[in-house]
Amino acid sequence: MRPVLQRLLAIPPLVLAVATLAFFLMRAAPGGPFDRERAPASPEIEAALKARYHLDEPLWKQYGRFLAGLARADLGPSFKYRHHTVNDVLAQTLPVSMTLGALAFGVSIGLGIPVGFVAAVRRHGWPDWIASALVVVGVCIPTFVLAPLLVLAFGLKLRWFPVALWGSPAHAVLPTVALGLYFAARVSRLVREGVAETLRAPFIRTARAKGAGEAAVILRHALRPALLPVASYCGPLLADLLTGSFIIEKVFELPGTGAFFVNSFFGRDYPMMVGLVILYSVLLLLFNLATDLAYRWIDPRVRHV
Amino acid sequence: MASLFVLAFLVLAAVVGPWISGQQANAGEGEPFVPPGSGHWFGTDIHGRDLLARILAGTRISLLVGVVGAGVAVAIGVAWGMVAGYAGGKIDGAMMRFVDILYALPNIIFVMLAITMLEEHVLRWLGAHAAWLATGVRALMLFACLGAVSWLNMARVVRGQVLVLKESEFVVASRALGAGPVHILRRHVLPNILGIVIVYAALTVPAVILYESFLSFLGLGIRPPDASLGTLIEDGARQLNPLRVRWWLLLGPAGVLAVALLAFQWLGDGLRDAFEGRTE
Repeated sequence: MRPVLQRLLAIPPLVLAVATLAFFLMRAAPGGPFDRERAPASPEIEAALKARYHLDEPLWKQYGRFLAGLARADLGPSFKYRHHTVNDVLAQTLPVSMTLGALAFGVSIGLGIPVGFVAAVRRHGWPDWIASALVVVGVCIPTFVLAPLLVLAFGLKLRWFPVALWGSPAHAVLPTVALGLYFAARVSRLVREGVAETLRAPFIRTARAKGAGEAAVILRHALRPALLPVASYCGPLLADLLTGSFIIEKVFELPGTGAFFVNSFFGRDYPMMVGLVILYSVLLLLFNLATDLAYRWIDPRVRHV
Repeated sequence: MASLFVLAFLVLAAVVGPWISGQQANAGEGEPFVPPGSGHWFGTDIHGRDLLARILAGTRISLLVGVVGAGVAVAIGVAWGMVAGYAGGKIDGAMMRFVDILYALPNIIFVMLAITMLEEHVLRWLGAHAAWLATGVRALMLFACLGAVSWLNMARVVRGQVLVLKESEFVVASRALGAGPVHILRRHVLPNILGIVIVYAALTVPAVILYESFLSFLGLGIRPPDASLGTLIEDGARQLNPLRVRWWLLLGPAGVLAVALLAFQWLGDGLRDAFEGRTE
């Protein structure tokens, strides 16, 4: 348990470093949060706005204020969405993104593992060809093409699912597929390669020599080690999926978090941007830790290192 | 091997294509939205520009972004990983902590920041020193930034390899003979990690190409009227509507992108098989 605790304790300083980097980089970027609306507004209004958000203070003071807020788990006010704090926005949008992300994660794992598995076992047979075709489609068609195509086919032509917005389970179908398919393709590739490689290992030959049936060989001996690459891919994947996808949320007009990543940057919404960076890094580090734990569980050899 | 032929064909088409097709990639002269036919093999786009010429030009830019971006990533990643792995101790710890920090920063944010922050400075500098380069600034920025976010995994993999190689007998022997770290890294470590580096490079290229297309979607990629495969696909996707189907606008660039990505993927897989076969 000690290494786990150590890794857990290493997370806060790492997050702080990332947040600090984001804080200063963001303020070093050209342009300010209130530039775009300055045309009609008088210099007095701009000054008042800056004073209200403490942008007129020296940088070190702003940083101190930011740290003090962070200690209270307060990410500060949003510059773009007045009367909302970053915490508010996250509280409203994160459930949508997380639901969608979890569903898409389910699709990528639920579709990717069986497909890759079958493809590896029936290598060079027709299941392998079908799987390869899926992978080609999944990896080579960017999400911003796939999503409008799905909308066109299943939303507008066939009218099976709603075209956009969020609410009923039916609303979640198209975005989930559009988001999950790419990652399902990636996962199935990892599984296919993992299984194919494991099946060449000496302990598989031993198992076969003992007279174990093909099904037992594959399910009992080959599957677990073959999932190792998938396990290590799951950490960053989950962090990416749960914080929302800009493209999916834009195409389907979803009230999720992903859109804020890009918009807060273009709007120079400093606290929002830094808050999102913190959120992402915390999730990423936690999931990577969880992934390593899963790794230890799957592969006992790692435990003693 | 087949993937090499496909790639060679794509590169050739992208390089000489604009001259032999005789069509201007950025200037429109024909009717808009002409379906593919004898006049325009891939049809024309919204401004009446020949799509084949645009796809060839876009392929050239996309391949260039992919290859140069991957090259930048490999250069940084290999150097960083080798130094960290060989130096060990505190230096290794600090260098890999830095990698961890960048890794935990969402890379889309990093790229957006880098592009906007650097572009102004680079433009100003180029305006004073090399004005003729200024039009290519966006492409240059993309090379640098995409490479700068893609080197992290490379550095980790290289470091891991170097940690193992460092203890190997021929390195110890070389050190005993008085060889300095630079000599050892160049003569003994680098040749031994070259295989895995090449494999990673081949797999980084398609990732960078895809990333550029995503940035184009955000308006941070190649600027119009120049085109990359990503911007062409995005233009095609924007024309998607249930009333009038202009499939060629999407199918052409998306098909070429798919072929290019697949070729690189297979190339990477093939290389890996070849190198792994050798080490076993």
